[in-house]
Amino acid sequence: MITTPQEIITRMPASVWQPFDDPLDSGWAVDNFWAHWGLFSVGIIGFVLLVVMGFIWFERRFISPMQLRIGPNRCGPFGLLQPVADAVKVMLKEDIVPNLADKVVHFIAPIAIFVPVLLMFAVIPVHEGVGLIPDLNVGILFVIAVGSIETIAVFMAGWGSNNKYSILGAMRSVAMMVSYEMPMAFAVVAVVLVTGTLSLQGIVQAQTIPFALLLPMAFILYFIGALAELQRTPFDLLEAESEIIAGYHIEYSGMKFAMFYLGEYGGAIIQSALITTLFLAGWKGPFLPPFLWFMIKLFAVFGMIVWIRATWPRVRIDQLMSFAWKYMLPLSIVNLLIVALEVIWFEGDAVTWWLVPINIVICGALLTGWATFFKLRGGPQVES
Amino acid sequence: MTIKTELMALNIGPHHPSTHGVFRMRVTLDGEVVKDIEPVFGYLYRGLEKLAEGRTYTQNIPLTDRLDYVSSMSCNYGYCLAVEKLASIQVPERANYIRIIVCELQRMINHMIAVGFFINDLGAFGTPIMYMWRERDKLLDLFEMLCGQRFLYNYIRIGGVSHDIPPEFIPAVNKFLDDYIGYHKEMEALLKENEILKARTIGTGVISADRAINTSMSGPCLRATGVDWDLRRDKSYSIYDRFKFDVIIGENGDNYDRYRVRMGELIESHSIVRQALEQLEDLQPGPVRTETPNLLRPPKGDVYVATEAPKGELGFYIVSNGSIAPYRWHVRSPDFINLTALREMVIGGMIADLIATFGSIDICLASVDR
Amino acid sequence: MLENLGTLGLFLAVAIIFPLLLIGLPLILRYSGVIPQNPSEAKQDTYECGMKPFKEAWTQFNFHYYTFAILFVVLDVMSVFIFPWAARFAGIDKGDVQVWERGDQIWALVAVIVFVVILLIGFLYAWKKKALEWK
Repeated sequence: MITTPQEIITRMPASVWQPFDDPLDSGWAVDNFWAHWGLFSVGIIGFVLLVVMGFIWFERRFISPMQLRIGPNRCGPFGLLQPVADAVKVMLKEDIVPNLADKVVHFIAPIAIFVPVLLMFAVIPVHEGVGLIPDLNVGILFVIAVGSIETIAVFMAGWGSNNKYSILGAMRSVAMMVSYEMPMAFAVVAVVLVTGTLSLQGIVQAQTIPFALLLPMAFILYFIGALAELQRTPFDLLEAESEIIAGYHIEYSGMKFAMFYLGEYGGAIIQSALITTLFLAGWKGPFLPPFLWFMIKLFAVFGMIVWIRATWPRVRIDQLMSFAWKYMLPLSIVNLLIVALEVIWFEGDAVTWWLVPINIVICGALLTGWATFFKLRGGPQVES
Repeated sequence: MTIKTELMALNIGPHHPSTHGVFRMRVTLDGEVVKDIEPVFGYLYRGLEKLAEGRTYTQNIPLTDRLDYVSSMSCNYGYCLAVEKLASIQVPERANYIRIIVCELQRMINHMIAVGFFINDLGAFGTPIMYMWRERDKLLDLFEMLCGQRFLYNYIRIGGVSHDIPPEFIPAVNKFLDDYIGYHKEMEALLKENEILKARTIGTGVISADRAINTSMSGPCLRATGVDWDLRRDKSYSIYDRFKFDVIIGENGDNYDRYRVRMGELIESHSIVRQALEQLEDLQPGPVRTETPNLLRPPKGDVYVATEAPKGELGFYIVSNGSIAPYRWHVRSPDFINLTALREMVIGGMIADLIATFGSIDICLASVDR
Repeated sequence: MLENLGTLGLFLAVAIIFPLLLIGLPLILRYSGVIPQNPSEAKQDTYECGMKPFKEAWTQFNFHYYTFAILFVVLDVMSVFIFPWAARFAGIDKGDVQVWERGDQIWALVAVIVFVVILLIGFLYAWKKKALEWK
């Protein structure tokens, strides 16, 4: 049992105390545990806030030409300061708590939505050997476990507001979590099968070929699951503007509302970062420094998500669930079996270019083949 | 296995993003499934029908602008036709063509808004509606060129139109029509075959042809159920018999068919405008308005004239007692009648379908509440 | 491993304190008079499209997916068991445990297939009983 920070320090292995082998060979190396911890805690928070602002700006600027608009262009060059202006504005708003709300739950929910986002960042590798915990050996499992806490926060917000729309949104969020957790987890298992490690750092290092090419099926399944996890179009049911107005955060204003915004975009960063790490070879890349590669891939994945948002309509709740359970889940299990067989065939070294065309063909065949059996259309006309 | 649950009473509207105005529904929900809805009208009631009884026939034309403000020209047109029939006024040939052109352009505007907002309600936020608004804005520019107004035109008058078209109008319309086909294809390419759109719309908000006729639905909503009925063709008024056009019909009367019918009618209206422009070129310049007294006194009697407005059968029932103002002025607004079928279409579906179906009916609250 | 979790635990404290600070800041600003605070009956009302809220929001809500939720629990436990299997399956030498040979791999695969099939039978049964329909 660990009870005090002192005890933690005494239990630290020497490698934490000593300067680790740093590829950037100086500035980053911190030989003191507390200094290391303090630096990266502040660093992660700063990174999250900055990238959230970057994402907000990027989404608005990127989506506006698609929608024949100009987008924010007044605050600062190219409207870069628009998120800052929004942040100041939202901070100075009056805080309104409905009389009927469950005050405690209403207060805790905006905090609870942001905590898992920050926690997950602790294990995302942006560079070799750099991070709060550079190489957590159960990294991906940790991320999946912590990631599902967000649903509880959403449910707290919806239930605590005592508003019918927000309860509808909250219920939808649970339905979504129940459905999309499984295909995502199995898609990740396929990656783990090939790499043989749960550590995110190890997964990046194993990717001599980006897994988006090697395991296209897992990539597609994970990407769809990530869209659902992020509550992004076409799965933005829980805040469906045209149906339930704003869903679970309808009764929030001011800074508390901003926390949901932060949590949402923070989640977007996390999922983009995970897709980057698991399937796009993380920080690896030629010529440019690793951190820059990481950011480029991060924004590319997010750009893809925004592009989808700009185009597609929203699915309905029953379609969402039957899509997850009848389409994605069987495919993810079949995918697992195929990857396991491939690993046996190549005696553990399945990261070979041989498999890329084979897997792409298998993926295409399975996706289209299963789609012919699967019907999304038609509505559940319940007897009234 | 059943678990005891309670029904939830939810209030949708009047202050809601997708009730297209101030419509209100009291919805009874069982989870996500709609068990019952009770529409509440009247938040935009302005008493237009009563107001009209205190104004002269000519003064009433601006009131019709405000009936269905998305398709003002068509409302002007229906009213003027009714008064002309009541007072037996002949309209110059040239005015007839101009009226057809502006009405069909107005139909395009209306369908653009209807389709755009329908897909917006389905959750494709922003892009489809903006594609449609780009085209609509060009049309509004054309109307501004024509009569100085972008929205509430007051252009069609009793006995003709208020003034002749400006010389630059016809080339501008031709240019718009040339460009439009490409943009229409762009819009179709965006979402026509999208699986999510089809999944959301096919088989939802279904109404059968029999029920549609019994609720006296009209317009695209009726044609989507497979009933081949279009007043422009079947009870041809004005000069519609001189144009060749197809009546687009659907099959199942679901949301997807209503969407397809509107998209088809955009192209048909486009072709009618084309033909009208060609025939107008052959026409000699002439008067565009029959001289009528400012204080028109139609003979005693009543008249009902129905026209095919973009949203359906727009009827004006006018009773005259021989004075300068109508004795009774009644509007059969198509979207109000279509809306009465809403309950039947959504019960047993889900909230998402309720919103989508509501959007697909294409109402304008100003015309529903009057 | 344990040290890492300790670091995470410390970071958890930061992760909780930081949002608390963010929410606390407007509170400070409110009492120093920068942020307005004019509560009123209408403002504190629950939003229901501009109408007075009628009937309860906290009802026994009929969410149609309790069978999904039960299945989810079953499959989630399955995924927990599958992760450690997957981590060792490729037989990559990490130095501390014995590496699986091909025979071990085939045996492990068969074992997991049996395990998954047992659960999948339950899943297919639920599917056939239309538990995966939204009713």
